Amino acid sequence: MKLLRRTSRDHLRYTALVLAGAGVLLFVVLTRIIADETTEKMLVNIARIEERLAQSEMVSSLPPVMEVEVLDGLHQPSVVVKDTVLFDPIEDDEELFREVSAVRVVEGRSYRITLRQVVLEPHDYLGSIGLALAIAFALLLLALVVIQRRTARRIWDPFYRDLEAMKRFSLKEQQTIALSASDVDEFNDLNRVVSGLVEKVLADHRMLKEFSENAAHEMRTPVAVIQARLDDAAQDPGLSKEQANAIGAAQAAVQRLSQLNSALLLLTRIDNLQFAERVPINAAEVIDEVLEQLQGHIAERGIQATLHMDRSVVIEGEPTLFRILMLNLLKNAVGHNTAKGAVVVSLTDTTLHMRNTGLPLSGDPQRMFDRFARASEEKGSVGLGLSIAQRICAVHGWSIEYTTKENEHSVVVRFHLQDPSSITA
Amino acid sequence: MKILIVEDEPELLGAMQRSLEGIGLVCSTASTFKEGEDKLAGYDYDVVVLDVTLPGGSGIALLEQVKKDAPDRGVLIVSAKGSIDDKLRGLDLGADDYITKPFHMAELNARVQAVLRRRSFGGRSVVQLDELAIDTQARTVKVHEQVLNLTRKEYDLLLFMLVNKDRLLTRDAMAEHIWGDHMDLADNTDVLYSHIKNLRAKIRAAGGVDRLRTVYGLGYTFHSVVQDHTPDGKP
Repeated sequence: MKLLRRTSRDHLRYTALVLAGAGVLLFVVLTRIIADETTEKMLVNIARIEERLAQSEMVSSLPPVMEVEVLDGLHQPSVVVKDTVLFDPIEDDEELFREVSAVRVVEGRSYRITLRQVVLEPHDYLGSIGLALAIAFALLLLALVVIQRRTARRIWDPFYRDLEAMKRFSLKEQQTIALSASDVDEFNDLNRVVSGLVEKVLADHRMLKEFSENAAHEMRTPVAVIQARLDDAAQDPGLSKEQANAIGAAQAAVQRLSQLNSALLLLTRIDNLQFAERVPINAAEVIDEVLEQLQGHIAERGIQATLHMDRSVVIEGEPTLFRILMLNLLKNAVGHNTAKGAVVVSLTDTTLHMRNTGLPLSGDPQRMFDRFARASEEKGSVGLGLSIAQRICAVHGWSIEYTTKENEHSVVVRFHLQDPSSITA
Repeated sequence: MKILIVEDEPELLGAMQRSLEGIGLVCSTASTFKEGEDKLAGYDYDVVVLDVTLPGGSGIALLEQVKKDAPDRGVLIVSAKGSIDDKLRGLDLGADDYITKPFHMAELNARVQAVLRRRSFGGRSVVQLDELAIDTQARTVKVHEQVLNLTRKEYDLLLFMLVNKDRLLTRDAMAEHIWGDHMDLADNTDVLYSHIKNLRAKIRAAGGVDRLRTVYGLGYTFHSVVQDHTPDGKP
């Protein structure tokens, strides 16, 4: 639920309570006032009748609202006020009357003057009070909605804009987010906190990246020493089979470590935007070169490579990265192929499409670009090829997409998606 | 042929020295910027193997100095960074080649030899071993004066083995030499074996001696002298 709806809901709930309270109070007070006023008026009227009687005028009765009766003997003056139900022949109904009955002594004679007045019954005006309050409530509601519509846009717009900016924030682009100023203190506080947080996250991320890069660099010399030492040890012609096996296994592990290290270092360097150069590259020439590189592997497996390439296609890109991208994609297409399988490369000025035969994918196709996502039984590869491919595409502003259907695997790279200069900055 | 190795990691320096001396080169070593500077001033070297990160100064600065004092001296840059900037700067400043740690010693041998050939003989150089002769400029191989028809990879392999003769070559070193970085494929061994098989067949067909021997569990050795001519099979 939106904050605005939440607060107005509470607001309305309390308003309704207050209005109901006001209604009850109004009703009680009104009832009291009406009763008092009626009685008082009748007492005044009794005084008037008294005056008339004093002037020896005849006062006729008018039942049931007025009755004057002469009492025998002398009586003490008194006033009795009560409510009574009487039949009113004019209204043809039983009505509730307020009755004020006073005993008065005028000119030595006692009279009982009784006045009655139909009481305004509470339910007669209860409805009116309720209606008036309901209308007031409805008007309040309407006003609230209108005010909120008006102010919501003005007050909340910067907030939603900032929210969008925060959603778009990505560590990879290394850019702080521009937050809009607002005249609401709370939003400004929030902006200050978020900006501070972003700065801190960026700084931490930069530090982490520098650390990863330095760590990868620092690892190289010890790995080189291990490799050199194993190389030395392997030179001994008198090695036993066991010793040779042990050295061979250690060499294979060091080789893997070294490949892993250079792949991670490459990823870090791509992420640190260290490949900023953009030059025109003839894509078909690079693909030819890479295929030549892979010729032995293609021949070994009896793979049929088919090329549909527009040889005039020129891509703006970083040459080293573009070559690694082509190598990684073709390496996958050949390495994950079946014997006597096929690789089809199609190149147009907007798209590079590589299809290859292979075993059905066992994992999740969405996770293909994740680091270290690879078929578990696979040997040789360090499992970073497609992540590297994906990062290379990202820094160039290209899209890369992997799809698979049974025995066919397909990778599409789309060039010219967006202005790459916005990323390489 | 005299080589100066400037490298601050003593273990690596020792291994590099042993490796280069193993292929018949005379090596001096230096482990700091200052030491490197002094040796360069005092002696004449054909090739300088230079680590980029040195205590007391950058290898790049030393490279600038080498190129100023003796422009035709060969320089091979060794870097743990492998960053493009270092590489381009190194090559721009006149380094002949660039190698990234960690590297196989056989690769170091091959690179240093290549720099030597380019520098010492104006590129015209023939590497000879009995009936086998490789013209490194024309990229041709002759056995008993008969030109072999080799693929590029077979040629690269043969030259690599010849430079590193009598030295154990691991399959990884050979694979990295012919395919370079980022070629971590599961069937590298099979493809390498195919290349080697074809190469042997071509040499034998021309009447050459099959000098290649499998070393159990480790790789191959290309022998300069062979007693028996029985070829061995797949490891």
